[in-house]
Amino acid sequence: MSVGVNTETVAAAGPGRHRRPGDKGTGRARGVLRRPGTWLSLAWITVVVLGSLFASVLAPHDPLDQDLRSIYQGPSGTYWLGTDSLGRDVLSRLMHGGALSLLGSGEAVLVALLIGIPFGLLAGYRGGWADAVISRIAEALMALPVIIILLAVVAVYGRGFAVSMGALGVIFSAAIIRLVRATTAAVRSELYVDAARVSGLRAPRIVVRHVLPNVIAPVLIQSSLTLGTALLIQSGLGFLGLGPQPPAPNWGAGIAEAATAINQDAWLMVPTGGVLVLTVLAFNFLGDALRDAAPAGRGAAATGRFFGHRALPADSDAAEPADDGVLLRVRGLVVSFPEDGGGDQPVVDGVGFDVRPGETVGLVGESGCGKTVTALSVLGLVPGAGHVAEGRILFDGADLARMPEKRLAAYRGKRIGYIAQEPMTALDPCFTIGSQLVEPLRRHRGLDRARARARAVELLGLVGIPRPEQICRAYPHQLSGGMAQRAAIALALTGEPDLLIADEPTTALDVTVQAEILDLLRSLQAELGMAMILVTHDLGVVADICDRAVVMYAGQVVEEGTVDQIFTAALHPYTRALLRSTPEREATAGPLPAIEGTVPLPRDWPAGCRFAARCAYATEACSAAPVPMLVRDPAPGGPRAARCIRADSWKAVDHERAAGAV
Amino acid sequence: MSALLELSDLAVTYPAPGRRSAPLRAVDGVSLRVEPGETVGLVGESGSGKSTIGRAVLGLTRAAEGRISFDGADITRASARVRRALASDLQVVFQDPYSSLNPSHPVGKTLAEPLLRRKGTGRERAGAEIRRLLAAVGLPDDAADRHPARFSGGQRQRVAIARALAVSPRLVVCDEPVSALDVSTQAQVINLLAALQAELGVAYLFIAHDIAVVRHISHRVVVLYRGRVMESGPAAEVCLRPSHPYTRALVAAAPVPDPALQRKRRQVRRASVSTSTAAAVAVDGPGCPFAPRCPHTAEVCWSTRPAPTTVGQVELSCHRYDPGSGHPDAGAPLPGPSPAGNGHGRQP
Repeated sequence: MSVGVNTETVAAAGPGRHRRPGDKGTGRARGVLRRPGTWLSLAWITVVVLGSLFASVLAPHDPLDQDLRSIYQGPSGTYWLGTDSLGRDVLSRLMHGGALSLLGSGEAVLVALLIGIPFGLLAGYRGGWADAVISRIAEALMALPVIIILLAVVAVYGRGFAVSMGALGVIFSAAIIRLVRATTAAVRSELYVDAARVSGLRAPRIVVRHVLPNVIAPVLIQSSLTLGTALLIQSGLGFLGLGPQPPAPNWGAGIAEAATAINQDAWLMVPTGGVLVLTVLAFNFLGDALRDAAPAGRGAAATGRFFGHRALPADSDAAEPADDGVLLRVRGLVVSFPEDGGGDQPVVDGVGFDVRPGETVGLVGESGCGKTVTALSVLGLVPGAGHVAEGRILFDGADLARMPEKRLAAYRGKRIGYIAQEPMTALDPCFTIGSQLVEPLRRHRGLDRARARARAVELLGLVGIPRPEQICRAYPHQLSGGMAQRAAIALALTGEPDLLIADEPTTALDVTVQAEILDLLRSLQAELGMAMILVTHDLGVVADICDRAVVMYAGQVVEEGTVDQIFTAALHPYTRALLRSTPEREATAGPLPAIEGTVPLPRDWPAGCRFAARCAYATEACSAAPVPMLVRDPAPGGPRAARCIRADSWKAVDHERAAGAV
Repeated sequence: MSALLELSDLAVTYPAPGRRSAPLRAVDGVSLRVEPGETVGLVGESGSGKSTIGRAVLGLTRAAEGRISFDGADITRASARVRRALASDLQVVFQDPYSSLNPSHPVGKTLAEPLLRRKGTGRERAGAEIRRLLAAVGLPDDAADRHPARFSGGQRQRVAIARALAVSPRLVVCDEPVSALDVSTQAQVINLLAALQAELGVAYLFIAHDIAVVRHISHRVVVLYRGRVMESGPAAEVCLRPSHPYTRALVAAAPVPDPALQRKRRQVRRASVSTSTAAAVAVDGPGCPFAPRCPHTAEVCWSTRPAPTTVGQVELSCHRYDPGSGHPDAGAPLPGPSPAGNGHGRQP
């Protein structure tokens, strides 16, 4: 799965693909497993655990067996890791002490989980008083000085790790409570939990079915890290002599002994300290690996990550006449995304259209038809791992597709402006609206600070923001959606662009606000004379503001013409079906004339007409071969064309019947 | 005959930021009825409280004042036990088909959830029932074994509808069920909801911001602004011949896919409001909430809350239509062309 693409391509790539639901997760897990850090950690932990648990069988010597003739020996064939001050085998002592250390740490983690998970779930799911009380207790636990508490526990209950590690677990439970509480509260606000409540499921059942599975992964990660910490603290207690009485072996006491003997035998510190360091490191490595292997949330996949622009190699016949008054000429544009199994899959397939100065062109179509990718490729901002594979994007005579990133960057924001669907993505939450406008004004227009400030206020007034001076000092979160979109438009206007690309600029807004934004765009255009590409699925918006419309289906342009031509005499059955399915147009009661089926995925594109499977007029000829754009009227202002084998003869066939229903 | 769902003077409040500020009244004195087998549309801008009403009916949000009754029984402060019993009568379809289905459960497991809760439904019965449901919403049998990630937005919404209908409810709260969908998919889902209603006699409380969608599917429409009912009545009447200045503004603002008609409507739209939404300052005074944006205000609009007035088949909360209100133009028709639509609503 190509990661980091925008929602539209995720939606296109998601359903119907031949992969099992867990695929993405297991693929990631496999990648993490392949890292040497992961399997080395796993291997080390396995060795330590097995060595400790089966110490009585595997250890080469009795851990208490003294050999006073060979004290402080280095590694040898008899004593693999040497001997200590009483001539006892270090390896055997480590193995026997390991069981105690691991069981103690395990006990601490187990206690932490047993307390943390139920209370965390309770606090996160119930909220209110339960949450307030549990959270305060957890905070108090976190404020406790661990070592002092443990010293007190040892003073009361005596040496031996059982009680002190239990106490440590209670203290550690605070971190688990907070983690589980946060995860639970996040899942609690998901609509599927609301739906389960409406379905009449009891709270415990909802928690087990919907909440717990989400909690397990972060808790596992935290457990692994906690195991390492517990091991360290436990060894600290052993080092201080607060572990089991000697001569019983434990790791901390071993280090203490090595420390006192450091002048006689420096080697002794290596195995005793080393085993602790390596084990703690391994647990931490494992925690990190688990975190990386855990499936990321939906949000991470849906945010568009821009990998940067990849310029096509220059070619010789790039010089096309640009003096026919066309501002932007897109020809044969192919945008591809890498496939899982290698190779590239085009999602935009041979798209071409023109934009003249001062003109508004609507890119229309359903989700997954490639309209956003087309618009973004003009800016050199193809989302994710996608890239322009073929074609030309001639802007004012220069081919943007063959331009290096550095030169293209000078076009963005200055000559080509961009408005996103979600205004908040265009505005940085950390800076005031004013400072966000001033910066590009200084960069693009070379104004000094005071003049840029004045121009920013002027721009905010221009986009219909009341009290612009005040809004200049406001932060994005203080604005409503409509106001934020106005500010985003002001931001796009700072460079006084010749072309404004607006990707669903009003979809997230109320209709009343949408109408105002469309009015605003119209008046700005009249005032500034800029051209506009409007990406939208809303035909009403196209009818309201566009001069020409380019209808896209499955990565291709299927029809283009002026809005009057498109809305009153559509040539392509897809355009007509789209028009008929809008409830605004539907004149009669009863079912809406919907288009059955869905847009085919790029990998399922047929060789012939891509709409044939959903078309009421399809014949065998439609699927036989790719259908070219049939130009009906090569008007100077832009052609009238459609990609339908009957585009020329529609009037003669049953155009009237279809039109009658519109 | 008693209504299936009846709200009287419902108010829902949220704590406002700041210790001393009065709570925010998201829903403020809303009364409405839904009859068995009927679709009532709730329409309004964001912040109008339409979704909050739905959540209050479902028991997901607590009502501060007023009464919610279902089939004659008061469920305003129903206990968890009563709510669970209600689950077989009252269901929901949410807007976001991506978050309303648990991504880690296959569709079959999601659909089995409400089924297995019923006594006497074994796994086998549930399996047959799931196949029947999937067929009813137009999904293939093998959909049960697939995870939500494998479905498109429209298909997921079909799954959500199947889950809502699994227990044969009498009322489904549809909270913006088609807003996240493409226009062609939207038409498919609207048709599905209408067909299921004709077949099963289920009633819908249909919440949406798109007045054309609401008109198409609803028998009656309730227009909300800032938590209050502005206008209510038969869908065709309210949406095609809107009376209240707010409904007029809403209808005029919705673009129609017809460039010539849209050019005319732009004029109507500009005449329908006095100021832009950005410039309108919300007032917390005692008057009409729409007064800051209304082109027909008089003094009374700022000082007195309008009382519901019946004009023909619709009920309006507007001083212009209330002869006793003291509005200087009360009773006279609103100036300017009405933002007439070009279609008809469903007949009840």
